[in-house]
This record gives sequence, structure tokens and C-alpha cells, in this order.
Amino acid sequence: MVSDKTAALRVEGLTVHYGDFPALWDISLTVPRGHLVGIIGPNGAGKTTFIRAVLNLIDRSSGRVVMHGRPLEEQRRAIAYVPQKEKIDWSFPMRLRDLVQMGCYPKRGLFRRLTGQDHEAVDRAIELLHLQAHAFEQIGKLSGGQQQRAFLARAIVQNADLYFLDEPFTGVDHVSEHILMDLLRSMRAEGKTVFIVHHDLLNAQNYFDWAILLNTHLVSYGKVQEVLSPACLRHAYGDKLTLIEDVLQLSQIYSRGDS
Amino acid sequence: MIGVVFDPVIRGPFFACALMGSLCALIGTLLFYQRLSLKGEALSHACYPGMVLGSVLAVVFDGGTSIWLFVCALLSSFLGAFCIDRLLKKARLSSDVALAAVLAASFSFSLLMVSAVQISHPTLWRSLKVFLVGQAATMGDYHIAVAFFLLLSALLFMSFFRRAMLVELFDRDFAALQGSRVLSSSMIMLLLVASIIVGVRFMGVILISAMFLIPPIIAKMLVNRFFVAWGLSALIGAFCGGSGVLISHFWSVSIPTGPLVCLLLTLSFAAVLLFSTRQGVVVKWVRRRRFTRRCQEENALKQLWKECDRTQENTVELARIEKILDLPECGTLVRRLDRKGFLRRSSHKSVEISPKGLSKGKTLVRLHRLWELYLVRCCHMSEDRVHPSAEQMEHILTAEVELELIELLGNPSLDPHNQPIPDREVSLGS
Repeated sequence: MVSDKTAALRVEGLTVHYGDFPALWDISLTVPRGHLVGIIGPNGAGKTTFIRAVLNLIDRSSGRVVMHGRPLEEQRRAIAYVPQKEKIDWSFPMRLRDLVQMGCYPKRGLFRRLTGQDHEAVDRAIELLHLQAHAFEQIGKLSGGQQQRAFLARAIVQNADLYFLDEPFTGVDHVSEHILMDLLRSMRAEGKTVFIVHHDLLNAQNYFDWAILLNTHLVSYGKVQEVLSPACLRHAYGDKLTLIEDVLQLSQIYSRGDS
Repeated sequence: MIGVVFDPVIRGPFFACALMGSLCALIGTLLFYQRLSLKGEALSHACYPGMVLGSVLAVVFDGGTSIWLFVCALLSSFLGAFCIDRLLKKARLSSDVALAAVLAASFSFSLLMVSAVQISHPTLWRSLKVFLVGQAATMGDYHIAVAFFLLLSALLFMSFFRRAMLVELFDRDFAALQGSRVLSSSMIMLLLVASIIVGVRFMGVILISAMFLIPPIIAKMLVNRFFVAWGLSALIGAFCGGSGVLISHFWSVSIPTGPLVCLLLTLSFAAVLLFSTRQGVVVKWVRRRRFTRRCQEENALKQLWKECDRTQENTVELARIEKILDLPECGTLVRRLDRKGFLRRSSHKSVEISPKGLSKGKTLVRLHRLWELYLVRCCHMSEDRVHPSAEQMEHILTAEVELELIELLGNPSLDPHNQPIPDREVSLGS
């Protein structure tokens, strides 16, 4: 078992209700540092709710959340969150670079001017995500993949230890997907922990090394190969299983490179 | 001319309205991006019962009108704001429903109160009715001082917390994670309520919301950076407030300022909507029209190139052109192409296509056929269905895309219909 100090995230008895309807039921888990963690489950399984409850963005009915051994309030700067694209008002008067620059605000606080270093970090993040050509465009003019990357660039500038990404791969073109994946792997190599809400089972195995399988309650969590076992998937996805099993088998075949 | 604004009669209304205009616009920007634009409207109606009550109390206690008025208006606005907040958070109503409920309830209540004093206190009744449309003309230096003080505190507070406000307006989750809660602070509430109460004095209960609502919308249509938009909306508010006073002063004494300011704002909004370079209706229309014309010209050049390619000559007779183009305004089109240097009238019966025109026509044919080939080969569309798409895409494809297509298709020489794809050299023949 991972101890409290070395764990990236430790959740105990997390329950969330929307009115009378339970969205998450008694979730307890511990995730060690330095992994790409997929949060996987069928529609309405509470994946987004899980992230938002962990980050205290919605009210929890009960439960305790500890990150790096401390509560969220004590380490706001160590946490970066990339919301779902649909939650953002893309007509807001803001250029891509201004958006990325927001990543400096937590460090600089309300008043201190941004330094040359900050601006360099912003430029580097923009470059890392191949967005230089669009730095001064209004964010609404970007393509879906570019918008997603812009938010990721902001998260990079935050230079956090824990990243929470909500569906970063939806509506993303092939190029963006590759850029994103490369970046996530290099973040893991730096010892950062990245939580990613993901709905597509097919490529989950290639993307993540850890997984949390949810369906209102916690179905299983751990190394991705163990979590995505047919038994666990049957538990999570229920009747639609034969299809899922086939798909999973296919994905395993493809990832091994067999024909 | 400029000195006129310091004239004792006009000084009060002019500066007070300009300052209040920019104050309302500054606060309105915050409301607008929170999608609570009508909060100004709701709170101005919510403060009216307080004003009625304050006036009545002033009559009862015989004096201290402005103090009674201000305190009661403040209390009733806060009550309105509290109700809105509860309706949004506890009853989980959508913001328009919550705002409309508070607006309607408080306004109808105050109208009942006003009508109750109509017979017994006609003077009071008249002064209460003034608050509905405002009375800027009677404002004095005292009002300038109040407006200046309010604007100054707003500016200080906002420049201090500008980053926090930007983050909270744009991305609430990001702000919540950083523990930033400036917008829900009582200072913002106080500024909003105070500016409404003072603003009602010159714009009136009914029209004040225009001062909150319109400047941010105009600014958003003009610029794409938040802080610039914020400042710009303050300038727009000040400009419309000030110039409304001047116009009503010089035009006729009987023109009320409030409605005029409101109208100016609406007119500016309409002007921007029509003419802004970014998304103005007129500009868009011109752009669309230009594109249609370009397509027409390019189609003609394409046909002309095909004709020249067939005859291996670069002169074409006008009669022949009319036949191949088959357009009603063929003469105008030829004149337009002439003006742009794509062709020259060589005699009154024939035209000579210039090298520029030939190369343009050839490029279009090439793009057309490349695109057809791409659709058939890479998108697996059937040959008889690719023509319409190519007809459109030939006008849109750029030189870079063209190179990419050539590379992707391995520098092809024939299109799916076995017609030659012309090369990139500027000459007749393919």
C-alpha cells in the first residue's frame, strides 16, 4: 500500500449527491505519484463529478481528499485543472497568449508584475504545443484541438505537480492528439501525476499506465492491464459487455501489433 | 467651444453624466460577462420602493430628503440583491427568471405606493415620478463630487483586483481552485448598488440598465482583449453620457437627457453592429459580395483559358466569349477583367488574354482537376460526383494546399476523367 506522503491522491469515502440522486458512492482509493491515470467509465458514471469533487469544485456529501499528504487548500499552486471545452465561453475577448498567461497568475498573485521569465515560460508552452502561429488570435477562432491545447499550455505554465484533464481528447484532431500524448508522457517522465477523464476504451491501454474504473461506485483501480480486465469491464459496463470485450480484444491486438 | 462644458448651468449635468456613464459601464462589464446583464435593471427597480419610502419619510419627518432617500434606496436594493441571490442559489432558478421576478415584484409594489400619495401629496407624487426617467438637467457640483468619488473608488478597486476579476469572469473553476472570490465580495455589491442609486437620479429607474448593458457589448464587438474592452466600454459610457447632456442642452430644453443618452448608446450599438471591421453586417456583406464576384471572374478566366488552350491563340472574339460564358452581364464582366489586367480589348470585336489572365485560368483548372483526383483517390468518392465540390474548392485552395496535393498525389498528369492536369508554367498548352 502506498503511504500518505508518497501518494499523489488519496480519497476516502467520497460520496456526491445531485439532489436525491447519488452521482458517486463511497469512493476510496490511493494513487501513487508519477503516473498517467485514466478515469474511465460509461456515460454518466461520474467521471467528471469525481474530478470536480476531488478539486472541491462541487460540494461533497461526505469524504476526505488528500493530495501529496495535504488538503487542497494548502497547495493550490501545485494543482492544475483543464476543464471540458463546453464549459468555456469562447466568445470572451481574450487572445490565446492571454489565456496561456493566466497560468502565471497563481504564482504571481494579484499584484506582482509578470517577469521576463514568466513571459518566456508562456512562449515556451505555446511553442511546446505548436500554437505559435495562433498566439494573437481570439480564442474562439481556434479549432477544437487548438483550444484544448491552449488550455493545456496554460496548465503547463502553472508548472503544477498534479494535473486534472477533463476529456482532453474529445473533438481533437489527429495532430493535436499526438502532440498532447507526447506532452503527457514527458510530463510523466518529470514525475508529475496526470489524471485524465477518458471515455474511449479502445485506446485507453495505449494512453495510460494507471486507471480508475468508475460506474457511480468504484469498480476497480490500479495498473491499467488489471483494471481493464473483462471481469471489471463487465462490472462497469454491464449488458453492453460483449461489444466492449470484443473492442478491448481488438485494441490489445492492435497495441501488440499483431494482425 | 470646449469652455462651454464649464458653464455653471451645464457643468453639473455634463461631468456627472460622463463620470456616471463610465462608472456604470465599468460595473456593467462585470455583470455582462457573468451573464447577469439584467441585474442592473432588476436592482434599479428594486431600489425604487426604497426611494418612494425615503421620500415619504422625509415628508413625515419634514427634512433630510437626500439622506432618507439614499438610506432607504440602499436598503431596498440590498433586499432585492439578497432575494436574487437566494433565488439563484437556493431555489436554483435561472438568472433571467430570478431577475425578472425581483424586478416585477418591486416595481409593482412601488407603483402602488406612488399612486397612494397621488391625491394627498401631489408635489411628492411629481418628484417621485421624476425618478422613473431621471432628471439630469438639475444636477450640480455636488453630484459631480459624488460621481467622481464613486468612479475613483471603483477604478482603484478594479485595477487592484483586475487579474482576479478576469480569471473569475472567464474561468470560474480556475478561480475557485485558486481560492479567488472577488466578484462575490461585498465591495462589488456596494459599488453596484451605489452607482444604481446615483445613476437613477439622471437616467431614471427604467433606462439606467442601458448604461450597464450597452457599452460592454459594443466594446466586445470591437476588441479582443478583456482589459482593453473594459477600458473601452468605460470610455463609451462616458462619451455617450457627456454628449447626451450637450445635445439635449443645445437642441432644446424640453428634451430629457436620460432617454437621449439611451438613444445615443443604442445608435452607437447599431453603428458598430453594421460597420465594425470585425463582424459588422455591412462589412460581411461586402466581403461576401467580393467573393462572389471573384468566383465569377475566376470561372470566366477558366473558360477563357480552356478556349485559348483549344485554339492555341490568346485572342478571343467577343461574340465567342458571350457564347462560352453565357452570362447576362457579360460586358460588365469583361470590363472588370480588363480593369484588373487579366485581358485587354485588342479591337472592338475581340480581346487579348494577358499572361496574368492565362496563368490564373490555368491555375484554376489545375486546382479543379487536382481536387477531383484527390476526392476520388483519397476520399474514395465516385468520379461522377466530384465535379460540384471541385467547382467550389478551386476558388478556395491556397498555393500551399496545392503543393501538398501535388505531393500527396505524386505529381499526377491526368484527372479522374482522363483530362490532363496543366502544369505550373505560365504558357499556353498543358
